[in-house]
Amino acid sequence: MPGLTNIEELELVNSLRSNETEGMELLWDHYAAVLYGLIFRMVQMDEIAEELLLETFKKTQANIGQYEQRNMRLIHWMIRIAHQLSIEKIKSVDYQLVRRSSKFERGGLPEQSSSEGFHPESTRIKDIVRRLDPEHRQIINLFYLEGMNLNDVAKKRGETNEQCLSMVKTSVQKLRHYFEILS
Amino acid sequence: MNPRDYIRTGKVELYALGSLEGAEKKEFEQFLLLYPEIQTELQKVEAVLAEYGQSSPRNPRPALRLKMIQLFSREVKKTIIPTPVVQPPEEPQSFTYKYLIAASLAALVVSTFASWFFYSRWNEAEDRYTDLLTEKNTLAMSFNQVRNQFEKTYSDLMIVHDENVRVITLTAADSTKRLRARIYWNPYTREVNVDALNLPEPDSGKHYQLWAITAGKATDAGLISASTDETMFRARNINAADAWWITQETENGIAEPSPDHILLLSPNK
Repeated sequence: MPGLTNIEELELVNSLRSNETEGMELLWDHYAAVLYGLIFRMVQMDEIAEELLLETFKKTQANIGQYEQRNMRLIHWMIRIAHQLSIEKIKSVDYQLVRRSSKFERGGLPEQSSSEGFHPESTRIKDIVRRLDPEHRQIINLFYLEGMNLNDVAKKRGETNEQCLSMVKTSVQKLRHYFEILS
Repeated sequence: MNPRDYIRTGKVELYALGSLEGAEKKEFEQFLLLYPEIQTELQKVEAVLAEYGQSSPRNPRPALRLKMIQLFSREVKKTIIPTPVVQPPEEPQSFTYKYLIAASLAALVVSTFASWFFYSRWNEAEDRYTDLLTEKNTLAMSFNQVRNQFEKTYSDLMIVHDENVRVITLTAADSTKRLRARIYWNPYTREVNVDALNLPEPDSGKHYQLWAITAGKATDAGLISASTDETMFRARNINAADAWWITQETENGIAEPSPDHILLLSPNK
């Protein structure tokens, strides 16, 4: 499914505010795959990712009254909700226990998935992300997808916190730069 | 503090990545409220990360879509109907409501019929009560009449029954006519009663007048009406009488009787 224009998003928001099932279905058809992809990359387990995806939609529907379109696109708002829920999950004790018992080793994050399907919007984004140095990409992933803090990342990379902070800043700025020139 | 310097530190990026913690996070959120530049910068960084987050989509199981719709419908129901919806007893509950509605409708029909029935009964009872009341009044009236008649008759009888009463029968002066009246005179109490035994209706504008004659002098003893329903008339008290006359006079009566007008008279002693 392609992404939605601002006007389409506005219609969708109105439909969600009046509690129409149709709006929820449309929202799912457009954004479920993107959100699921992010959540899955973060928690790495389908069962947990499915739970979090449902939670994301539930939270979106419950808080749609607080959403302001002029500040943020709807998909960005939903991505933020999904990201926050996933970070909470990763840091929770029960998730840590499951991870340890399954001897799951977090390593190379799957960039490709067999059930990815066709997502033109994501293809565009993927092209932009590919331009980023692997090092910068890795730094963003450690923070954004794995929820690590500055100390951990600095330790992992054998850097001081200041050096690491500067790297984070540069990585995000680069990403931002590519988005700005290529969008 | 210059917000641009703060932005240069990279804390905005760190915050957007969710990696600022504790005091640093609180400090950042305060700056966020104070400096719109920081807020704008954060929005931009968050947008970049949100785009980045969309880079690897993955289709969820199709069954999950259905699950979400069901979950959503339940949520909507919950917000619309404040009472908690209990899953299994939903059908019996609606059945119970149906029965309740049917029962109340039946009760309405029965009570409507009952009120019509009792209203008509009440109307009948009211009519009968009115009839009885009229009948009772009629009876009371006739009883009063009977009592009055009885009292009159009884008092008349007492007059007749009195041992001191003298009974004088007057006969017609003109022997061809069959006129008759009776005087009951008590010389002790001086009461005079007249029983018009056979007196015709007086001529129009005229009255019968009773006279007591003492030593050739007539005394007016009063007017007599000769209707049939009253038998005994009370006349004026008379001290002494040798003879009695009944004359027919003009309406108001006169002081002296004229012998021409004598209709009835007492027998000579």
